[in-house]
Amino acid sequence: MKTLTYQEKVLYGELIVVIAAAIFYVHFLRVAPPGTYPIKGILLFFALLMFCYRSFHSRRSGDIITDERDTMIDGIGAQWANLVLAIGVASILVMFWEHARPVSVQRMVDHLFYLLMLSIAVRIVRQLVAYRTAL
Amino acid sequence: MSRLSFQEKMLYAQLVGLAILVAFYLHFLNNTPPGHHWFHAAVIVVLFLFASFRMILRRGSGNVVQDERDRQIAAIGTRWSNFILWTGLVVVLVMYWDHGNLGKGMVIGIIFHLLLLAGLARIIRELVAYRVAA
Repeated sequence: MKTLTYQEKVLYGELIVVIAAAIFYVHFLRVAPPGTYPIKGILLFFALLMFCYRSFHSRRSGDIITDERDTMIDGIGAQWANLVLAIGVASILVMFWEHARPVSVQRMVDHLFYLLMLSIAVRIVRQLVAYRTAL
Repeated sequence: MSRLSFQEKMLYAQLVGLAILVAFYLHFLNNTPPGHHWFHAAVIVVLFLFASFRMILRRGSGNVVQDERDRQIAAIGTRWSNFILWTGLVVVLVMYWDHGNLGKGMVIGIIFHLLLLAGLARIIRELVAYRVAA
């Protein structure tokens, strides 16, 4: 853990948040009817938590300077995430226009949520791999 | 037009592609029920046309080498596109989980327009970046 840079620590933090969001969705949100949970409040709380975590770590760590390599790695991650999102959303549209699937809005929302999580996970993992290999 | 780089030409071609897609959506897809189009075939034809156009332009053009600046500009555009897509999808999900009164057609319409907006934002941001110092 000592050899991790600030950027890598933030990426691991994001990965934990993604896993927590997926577990919350599968266990609570998916089975409850709409309007059960105060989603806006939960989202704001998580945004605040993430912001606090980021500012706390940026004060403590020494190596928080973003250099050329960090920017490049960020770009690579963004490109992968964008590709996953674009292909996924286009597939959902084609499935609907060709076969009228998914059959319900709940299914559609399911697909969208998993797609969002997949794209974020792909971005994080790709960036973590890029930090450990030569560009 | 001759002062445009290969990357800029490609961006303008993508812009034209988006305009054609919008016209196709408004004239055909928006008014008919699902399953009435050879949609897979249409997508494959468009992809084939785009690949051919890219190849012809690449052969005709001299300056096709992608340098550091091109990659940086592409990353800027991708970040904008990602931000719009993520924000839009989260808004759709929150709207459903909070109110639940979204129809299937409405969700598809929102997603389609979101994809268009993201593509448009990426292209315009990259074109602007090519004309100013990146």
